[in-house]
This record gives sequence, C-alpha cells and structure tokens, in this order.
Amino acid sequence: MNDDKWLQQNQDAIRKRLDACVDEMDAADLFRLRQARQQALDSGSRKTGFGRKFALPVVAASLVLVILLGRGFDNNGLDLQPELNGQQNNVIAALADVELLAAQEQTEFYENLDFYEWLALEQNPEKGMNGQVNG
Amino acid sequence: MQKNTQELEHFLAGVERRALQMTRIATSSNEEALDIVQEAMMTLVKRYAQRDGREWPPLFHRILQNRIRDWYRRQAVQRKLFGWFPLVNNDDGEAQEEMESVAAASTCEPAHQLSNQRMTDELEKALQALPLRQQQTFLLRVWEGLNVAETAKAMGISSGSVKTHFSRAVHSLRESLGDYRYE
Repeated sequence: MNDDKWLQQNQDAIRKRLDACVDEMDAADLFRLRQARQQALDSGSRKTGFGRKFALPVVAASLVLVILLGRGFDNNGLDLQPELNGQQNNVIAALADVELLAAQEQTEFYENLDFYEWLALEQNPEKGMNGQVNG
Repeated sequence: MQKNTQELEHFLAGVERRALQMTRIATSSNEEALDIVQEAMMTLVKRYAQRDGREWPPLFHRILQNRIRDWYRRQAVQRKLFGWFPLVNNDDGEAQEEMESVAAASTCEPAHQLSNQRMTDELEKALQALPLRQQQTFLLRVWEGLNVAETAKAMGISSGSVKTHFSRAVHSLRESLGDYRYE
C-alpha cells in the first residue's frame, strides 16, 4: 500500500477522531473560549490602533516644538511674535493635519500587512516573505 | 449588536474549538493554546472585522499559524537563553531537544471507553511527533479541508512546500499509525 492509498483509507477515521476531541471538549475550556471570543469582540469596539495611541502625544509634542521655535526675534532683539502668529497658526494646523494623515496611514498599513505579505507571496511564489526560497 | 459583529461572532463561535484543538496539538499545552487562540481572535477582530466575511477563514488561519510559529520561536529563544526547556525523550529514551518534536500528554480526554482513549492518544502522539509545518499542513488539508493554495496562504509558504510537507506528514503518520480505525 502506498501513502496515497493509506490516506484514502484512513483520513475519514482521523477526521472523525479529531472531531470527537472537539465535541468532547470539557466545559471549562468551552467557557474560556466563550470568554476569549467575547473579549475579542469587545476589543474590536474599543479600537485603539497604533495611530490613535500615539497621534495625540505626537501632535502635542509637535505643537510645543512649533511654539518654541516660532518665538522668533529679529537681529535687533525685537519680538517678531505678532508678525509670526499668522504663520505659526498655519504651521500648527498643517502639522496637525500631517499627524492625522500619518496616523491613518499607519493604521491602514498594519491592517493590510497580512494582505501585502500574501500579495508578495503570490507574485514570488518560490520565495517566502523574507525573500528566501522555501523548501 | 451590529450585523457585522453578529456575523463575526458567529464565525468565531464556529471556528474556535477546532482552532483550540489544532493549537493544543502544536503546543502540547492547553493554557498556551487558549492564549494563542484568544490572541488570534483579537487580531482578526481588530484588523479585519470590516472585511468581507468570506475573507475571515483564510485570514484567521493565517493569523493562527503566525501565532503558533511565534510561540515556537519564543520557546526556542527561551531554551537557548535559560536552558530550562525540558528534554523530550523518544521511545528509545534518547534525549531530543527538537522543539518541533515535543512529545505530548494527551490533550483530548474523551470520556469513556479505553479503546477510544487509546486511539485518541495514538493519533495525538503521532501528530505531535511531526515537525510543526508537516503537522499543521496535514491538519489544515485533511481536517480543515483547505486546498493546497489555501493552505499555502494560511501558512505563508509556497504551494510546492505545502505538497512536500503534506506528503512527508502522510508518510510519517502511515508509519506511526498503520491501519487506523475510528470506533
């Protein structure tokens, strides 16, 4: 008997045995699975992606930096603050927009990472994700 | 509850027990398996809840396989750093440090009959003796019913590798189990 024939004759039995293990799973494990499932679903409704976690501190730090750098003086020591206020507001607004966009891109990037990996594999079927040939 | 959440819950409820059993076979630990399955569910919900429901099965399998592989890598690192990973003895009593050949205590305890228990133990022991990729390829192909391309996507390997791992797994199982019957 070769391997293929053995598989044909025995795979149903193997499948049924594995199904039986699942059907006979004890109550404690079933309870924990239910808990895990509920926690996963709850976590999905409280999404805190990478971008959202770090966007606020980064924006705040950027604002502080802009304010500090924006307090300029001309060569005679005169405070140029009134003239710079308009420019500063534009810079702050632009930085905030950039942070938001970056945060969104990061979130989308991580969300699609698995797809990008699969796509790379499809385009280079002989190579794994790290570019090495799989055997 | 929104429709998408309901569908996601339905999908997870349908897949979680088999996922746990597959992971138990891979890790030989009920606790580790539960943690890994929970992580996989959370990742699927956080990243892919908004995808079409038809994409969830391959995505979930892919996530689960990644988590299992990560667990193995952590175990290998811990073993190298701390050297406490228990040596595994094969039937001849030789020490094996092969992380992917962890001998198992039975992780499935069907009730009742001695013959059923024995058959289950034999099957689990044979599966757990396989290297990880052979083991998971076999389970995905035979138990989950994935085709070669779907298995390749789930495991992040080529179709050719799937065929190789699968044929080696079948050969090893045939030698271990012989004529296997379900009673």
